[in-house]
Amino acid sequence: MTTYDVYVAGGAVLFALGTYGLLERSHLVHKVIAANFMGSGIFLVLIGLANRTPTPEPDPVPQAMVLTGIVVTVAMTALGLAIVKRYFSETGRTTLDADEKPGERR
Amino acid sequence: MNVVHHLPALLVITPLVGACVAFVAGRRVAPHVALATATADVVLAVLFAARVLAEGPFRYRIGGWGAPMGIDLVADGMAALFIVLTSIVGLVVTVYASGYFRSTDPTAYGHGLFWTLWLFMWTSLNGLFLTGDVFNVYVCIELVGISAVALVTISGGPDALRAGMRYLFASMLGAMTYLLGVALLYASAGAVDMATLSERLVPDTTAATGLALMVAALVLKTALVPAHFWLPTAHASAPTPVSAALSALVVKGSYFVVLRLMLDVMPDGYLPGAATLLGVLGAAAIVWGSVQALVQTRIKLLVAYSTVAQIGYLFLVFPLARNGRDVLALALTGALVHATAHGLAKGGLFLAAGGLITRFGHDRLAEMRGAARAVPVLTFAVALSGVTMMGLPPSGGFAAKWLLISAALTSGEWWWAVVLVVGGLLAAAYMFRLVAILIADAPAETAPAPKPVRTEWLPLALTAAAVLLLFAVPLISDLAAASTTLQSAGVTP
Amino acid sequence: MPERPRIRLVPLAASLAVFALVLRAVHALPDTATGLSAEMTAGAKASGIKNVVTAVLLDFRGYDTLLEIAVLMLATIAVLSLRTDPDALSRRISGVAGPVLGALTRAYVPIMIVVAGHLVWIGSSGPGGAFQGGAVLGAAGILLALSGFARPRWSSGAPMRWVLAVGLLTFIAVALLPLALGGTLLQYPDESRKSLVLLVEILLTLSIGASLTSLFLASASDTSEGERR
Repeated sequence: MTTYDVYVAGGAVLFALGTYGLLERSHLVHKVIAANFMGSGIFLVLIGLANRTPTPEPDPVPQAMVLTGIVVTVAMTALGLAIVKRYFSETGRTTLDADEKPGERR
Repeated sequence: MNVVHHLPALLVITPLVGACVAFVAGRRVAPHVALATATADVVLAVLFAARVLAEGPFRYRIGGWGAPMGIDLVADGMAALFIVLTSIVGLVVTVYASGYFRSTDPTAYGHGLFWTLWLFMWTSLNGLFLTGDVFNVYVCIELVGISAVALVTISGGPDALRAGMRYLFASMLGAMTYLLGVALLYASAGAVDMATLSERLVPDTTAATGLALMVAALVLKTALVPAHFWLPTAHASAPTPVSAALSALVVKGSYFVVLRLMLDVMPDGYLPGAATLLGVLGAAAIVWGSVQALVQTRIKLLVAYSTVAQIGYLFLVFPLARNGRDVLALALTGALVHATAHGLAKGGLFLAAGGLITRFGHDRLAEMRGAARAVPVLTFAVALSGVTMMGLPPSGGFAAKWLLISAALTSGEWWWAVVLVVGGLLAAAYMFRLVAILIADAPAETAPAPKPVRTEWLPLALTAAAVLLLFAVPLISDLAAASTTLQSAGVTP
Repeated sequence: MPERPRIRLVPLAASLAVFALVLRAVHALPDTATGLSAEMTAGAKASGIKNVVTAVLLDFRGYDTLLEIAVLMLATIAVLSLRTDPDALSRRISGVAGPVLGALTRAYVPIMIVVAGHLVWIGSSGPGGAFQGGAVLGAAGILLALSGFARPRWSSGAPMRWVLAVGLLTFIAVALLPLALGGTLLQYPDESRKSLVLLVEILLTLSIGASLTSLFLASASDTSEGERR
């Protein structure tokens, strides 16, 4: 087991935690944060896997993927928080669960 | 510089420039920018399809590097078909939207930012249809996802925000799962270019897990049952032009990538069971979506559930594709005809439904009885879209079902043909119910139209195109033959 | 009402399943793999951009980065489309901040601008680049707005729209330039590769900084009904 296995395993833990949070939590901000957990988990996995090169320099491709992924995740998170905020200001609610009209479920 | 050589790049860059210019120019000029961009895109799309038909598939090396180091765009018949479909529906939606958004308060609808968001969505769809790189797919589906969610929430109403929020969470879950899959795939095969991957893939756990995660993520984004939970509310609560674009085009984007992954990237027998599973889920989608459409009381939800059902047909191609190249050619052509017919018909049906909602001031089906008298054009558009959903000749729906049923019978897997026939009957049931309400002999209580709406002819144009699509089947068949899938399977037109 | 802690079966099963799948998949990998690093490193050496990651981002996979900038700009526009009252934050922050915050802002912002420039400049040879510089610039923008030097409503005005778009527009122009010279999209001519990349990076930094500032200000702009309820 190398140092980088720890990164990969840690990334898998974060991803799994994020998956659980995104599916299970009902508070909308929690869900957005959970999605960020998933993102960070993947980035750790990518960074860990990038170090499997035989040379001392890690593979630059996964690193570039992480940088792209971070920006995309920031963009998604910003939109998510903006919608949560607007939703809260329109309805005073922080969850999606309750008071759905019949026929609109699912 | 010869424009023809750079069509794949220009198809992405043109709407992107349009989006930037529409944003900088502000809300007054933006609709004109969008119309100009849409027109230019139609021209580029037709030129592109003509070139692919004339010369067969080709690759466009961005940066001149070439895969696997750089990113290649893949220009083939399948991409050309979806790009032309996008440009036609896109142009109609743009014209419709210029009427739709003009008649409302300028501060509503996201401060006039609709046009920019819409052109971003167009960019991302063209990008998705052209890319030959699985990581680039990730960036494109995020662009699709963010623009689609923003277009759903643009009206700012509580229902739209709730639907957009759920759509965003589905998008996030899908995008993250997809990216994890790409990470595993790259770790195993050392490439992200689809063609390179298809050469290098060996049956190993890592690559198989990666591909399984990617396909699962895309299935969620395509809203295949049971991952359809986000679609009906998102498609139903969006502004009408957005609903049309979402149902007609956006679900096809992620489906297109599933086609590429399942048929081009994975060698035969990779991920055993995946093709059958997708087919079974497709069959379940046809039944479940149709039954839900039958019991809806609001018109846009009915149309949205019909999309859930129609998506199911698209996935029947995967189990059929394993039965030799002749069946593959039949099934793929059938799926492509179906995607085109559904894109046209559903785009038109959503625009017609939106027109009805505008005229009645509500979306309750039960109170739309007798609409035909007041709005004959819209009613006719709805009826025409029914023709193709049910699969009556000479509609595109008929041609698609014919091809898929032939594929099923040729392969000996006749049960898929049963699914197709049952699906047609169920579609007949929910479309008859809708049309029966509209043409019922009752005094219609519509609000007086603010003015004769020129946009009422647009849904009719789309649905009529879907009904006459049978005559374009030879063309679609040629485009299918010019796809990388059929070319590498050795099918000649 | 606080949420009661509870465990739901489906999410738990999904997250355990994905965890097990990933571990199993990673465990099956051989210990070493080169991926594309050899080609990329050689290519970067030839192109004169010493930082391989920068070369991947702006050259070999520059198309991804082009679309990624589009993602960021799109998200900013999406957030702007969700504003309810562009002036609310302006009303909350009236006038320039008190002497301490004011003096600190005056001292910090020029330093932050220099740091952002430095990050862009070293990006071609070491860790740094447009995103890192843009993040610092964005922080400076937020500081200026919160301490009252810049009006939050600028976040949606016409000049700001230009700044938001200029990075992407420049990138597109530079990407299209090779088409006139017989190349493909983003095929920079060898002799001007470094300067074109630097030009794109500088203007991207501006736009990214503006995006991050706008994202913050636009979503901070309404103190809403919900809060009052």
